[in-house]
Amino acid sequence: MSRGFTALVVSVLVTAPAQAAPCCLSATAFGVGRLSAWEDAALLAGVSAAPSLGRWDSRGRFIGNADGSSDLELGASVAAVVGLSDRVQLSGRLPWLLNRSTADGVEEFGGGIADATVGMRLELLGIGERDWVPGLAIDFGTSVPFGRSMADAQNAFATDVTGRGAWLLGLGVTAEQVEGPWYLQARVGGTVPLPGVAGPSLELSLSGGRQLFGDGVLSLMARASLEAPRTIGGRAVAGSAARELALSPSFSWKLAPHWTVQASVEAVLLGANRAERVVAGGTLRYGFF
Amino acid sequence: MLGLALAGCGPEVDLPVATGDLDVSVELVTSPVRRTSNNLLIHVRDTARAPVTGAAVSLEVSMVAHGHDGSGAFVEELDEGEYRAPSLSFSMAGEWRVKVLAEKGGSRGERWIEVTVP
Repeated sequence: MSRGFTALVVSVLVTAPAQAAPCCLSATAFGVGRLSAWEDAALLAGVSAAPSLGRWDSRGRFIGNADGSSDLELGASVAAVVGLSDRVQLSGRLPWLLNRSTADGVEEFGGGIADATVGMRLELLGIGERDWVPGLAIDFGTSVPFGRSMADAQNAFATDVTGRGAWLLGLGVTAEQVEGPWYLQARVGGTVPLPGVAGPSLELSLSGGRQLFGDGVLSLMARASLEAPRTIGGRAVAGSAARELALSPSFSWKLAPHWTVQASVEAVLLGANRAERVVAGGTLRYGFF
Repeated sequence: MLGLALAGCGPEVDLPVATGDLDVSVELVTSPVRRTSNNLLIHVRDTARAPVTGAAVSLEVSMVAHGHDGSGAFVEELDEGEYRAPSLSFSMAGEWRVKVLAEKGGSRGERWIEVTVP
């Protein structure tokens, strides 16, 4: 396993398209990644564009946008990862959103600082530490509600909404294996909102990729998430559970020893009670070592 | 534990469509439904089916599956027992639930309708 390939895998694994939109997307991607064994810290800057294609209704049917209606979310973010020891890393991410909506002949813009995330990664077993045994890590995360929630929206089309209005607590377990030019990663995680404006959610993801052209890695990630039904008066409301299955190809390229750039696209293939957006993103990463 | 939480605490229930001792009926006049400026007609009657005038009528809109509310809407009285919300708007496409609440004296009535906004 080459040092360069490992660095590329790091950048691929950690910079999936941002799921920063407030109310109709899954609560995913707390982490901004991990460091390579030789790195002390990393800085990341990312941009994304997410046009809406429609939505998945409560019965799982896709419904396209009505004529004259459109939604577009543009995002930018900065993130950092700092290693406290060989086994412990801290991370944080601060996003900013600009939303545009059109309907009934009206165009509306809004945006601002979105919910931030902070996380900690605890590495139980390093990648390649033991032959034929995948690396294993636990990640803890929280989403800090810096953004404006739906309850505080002022704009008619809620374009000023940039956050969930609630803290989210997350926990996940990740297994990673690198063999020659190939890598494979599996993660299972869950989130719990505080206070309970939404139900707890469970997410499973599987990603894999291969080194190409020397300094590049082409990857594909499949992600499934389930969110519990809303409860009103202690009773679960029929038809209010949410789910989605998304697919995300990405390509990462090492520009220089410290610099990596990554491009990715994510689309929801199946869902219920979710917006359908194609999220295209790019991230520039600088590793300190 | 998370699996149990995801499954909910018990069987799922449908939300009510009407409660109270006043009879509230609702008609969405605007067709097809729009994101903005929908016209909602509301009729309020008592237990003897007589029109109720001077009732306090209000609206609450919410997206239950997304866990958030929308903005309310101004309601005006038109005629005996007839009220109108002339500018009901929805901030996004999707499945909304509109609650109409009418109160007069010690009586009250509630009616919910489901609205799918394209």
